[in-house]
Amino acid sequence: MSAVGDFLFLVLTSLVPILATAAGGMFADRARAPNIALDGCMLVASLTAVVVGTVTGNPWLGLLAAIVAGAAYSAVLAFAAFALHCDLIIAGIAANLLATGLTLLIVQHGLHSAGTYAPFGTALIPRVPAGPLQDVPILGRAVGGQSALLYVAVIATIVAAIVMNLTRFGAHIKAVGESEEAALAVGIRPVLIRTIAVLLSGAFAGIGGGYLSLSSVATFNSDLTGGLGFIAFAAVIFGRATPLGITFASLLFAVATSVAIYLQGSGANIQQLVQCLPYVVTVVALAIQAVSRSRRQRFDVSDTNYVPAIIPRG
Amino acid sequence: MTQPAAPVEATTTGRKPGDWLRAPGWRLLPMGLLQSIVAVVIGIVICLVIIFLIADDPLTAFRAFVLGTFSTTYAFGSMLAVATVLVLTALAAAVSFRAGAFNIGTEGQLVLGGLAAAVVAQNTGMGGIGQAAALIASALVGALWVAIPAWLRVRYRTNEILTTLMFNYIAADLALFLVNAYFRDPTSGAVETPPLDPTLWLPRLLRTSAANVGLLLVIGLAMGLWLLFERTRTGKRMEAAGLQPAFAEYLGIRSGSHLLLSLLGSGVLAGLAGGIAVLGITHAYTTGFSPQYGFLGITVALIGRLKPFGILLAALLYSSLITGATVMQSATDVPFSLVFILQGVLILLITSRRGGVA
Repeated sequence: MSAVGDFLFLVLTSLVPILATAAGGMFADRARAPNIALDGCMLVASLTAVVVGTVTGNPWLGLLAAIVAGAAYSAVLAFAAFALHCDLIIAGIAANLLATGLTLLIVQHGLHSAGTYAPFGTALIPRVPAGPLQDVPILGRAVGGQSALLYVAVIATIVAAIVMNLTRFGAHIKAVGESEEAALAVGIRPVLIRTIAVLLSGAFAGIGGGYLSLSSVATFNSDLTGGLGFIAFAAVIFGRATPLGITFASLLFAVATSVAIYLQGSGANIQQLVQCLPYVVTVVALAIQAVSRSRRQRFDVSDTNYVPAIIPRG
Repeated sequence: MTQPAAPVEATTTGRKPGDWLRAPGWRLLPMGLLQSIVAVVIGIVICLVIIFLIADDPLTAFRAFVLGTFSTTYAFGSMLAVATVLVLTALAAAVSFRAGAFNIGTEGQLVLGGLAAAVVAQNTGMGGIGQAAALIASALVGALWVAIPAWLRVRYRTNEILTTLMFNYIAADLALFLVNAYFRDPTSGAVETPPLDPTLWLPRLLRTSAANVGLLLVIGLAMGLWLLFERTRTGKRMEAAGLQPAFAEYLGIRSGSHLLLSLLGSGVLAGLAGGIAVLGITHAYTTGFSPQYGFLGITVALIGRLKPFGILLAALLYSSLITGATVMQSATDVPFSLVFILQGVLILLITSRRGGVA
């Protein structure tokens, strides 16, 4: 029993950055401004988190700074897309590359580290004991001692779901995504809504990025995300940009990540091979989704259904 | 981002293209070229500003960054060697971009292509046969590695950006595993294959530097691709299939198979880039032998406006900046990562449609 509990603990640990980031990516995707620079936002945010957390001595200030940094960095993407009129996808890829360069430059030059910035004595986000749940067989082990950011991520997802489905702003986002002309006709400003959606996605990615550098060990290097931002982006697409969908998709990818970590610990000779499991699962998930979509569309002649995927124009 | 004359883009940006460009004199200049030049100048200025802000000795750093390539024969030779690889990855990106698909996975195709070249060269004969077999193997492996995302894209319209990107991470893990498990040099502490026999190295052009005959091969390939895109029906069909798939189908072009062809071609070029990097520069497969050649290739392709000859020039320019940054890193306290910042800035500036240009 305890093995199951430990495995679930691992799943929840891997879930936090994916879920938090995907919840924000949902806004951008729904507004048809998919933010493929989530990975870059996470990277910039996690560097900010560890630096601010170390300087102030307060990890929560570090997290706050990470959220601001994530939003600020996604402003680069919004500027490129809406002010420079770049293609959003290419601009997103550029923003990811820029984030790698920027963080590397800061780590190497500003912080005088060769590649990995590991400050001494940084306070981490506190871990929450299971409390009354402690004696429940599996659940106790799974949630006992999780980072407080797990709860932050869950609350953030719930808030995102409420904003998306129950508020005026959420309706505006959906309107802009589904029909720009119709939204314009009723007086919604698509560029404004899209900019806010992109900034929001950056802020949520900031939570995910902050988790990476402030939850278990306070270190940073420019490979820290390891493509987690892209996996979160894939979770948005696989979850059709709905709150429940992205939660399940994030869980799936978190399970894949945990299996990889678990197998690595088992000491088999295939350690490097299992490392790629989350990426393989992501590709398989996207493929399954595409296959089922093409099955459905054989009988569907209407062109109105919402397509959350990004299709390169041109 | 593909062709200056695409009417679709003009309407989606919501502005009349190039009102300020009506003067006849401007029309003689290819618009894309102008924007590339402007973008490169702005990008370099931004780099110089960063250098000025962070360097202890900005003047030395400036000189190293801009002129470092031309300071020694060795530096000039490695500039040519890096350019060789960049041309190939850029052509790989351009072939897929022009057909309307984003192959972001050139990095993964390059890594596995490089590994294949190292392994095949090791196990076949010496000299020319070994080299040829290694290069063919690298091209095949590159195509193989893009085959699954390409097929998923063509058959089921899977988002190829994400799948090729994921395949980069998978390729890195797979290469690490394969080298560790089967091909590792037991005498070396690093994860790398045994050094290749000098007869397997690509012949050098400049003594004591890494510049090699791969450069000539690459120039030939660029000319071939120019012929393909500008002078053959297949090339035009590939482009039509990418720009307007539905329209292409009406014309009787099988857009799917042309897209597949271009993605596989892209994989071949990227894999070959890996082979040339291994046989010409590192002379063994080492983990991290590629300083992100794949992604740098995307930048070069965009600077070169996706045109083969533009790419040749852009690769020379960009690799001289890379070499300059290497010289600068060893001479001053400004790190190499400046190149990656330049890369992001350049892509943003070059793909900008502000002002209705391209």
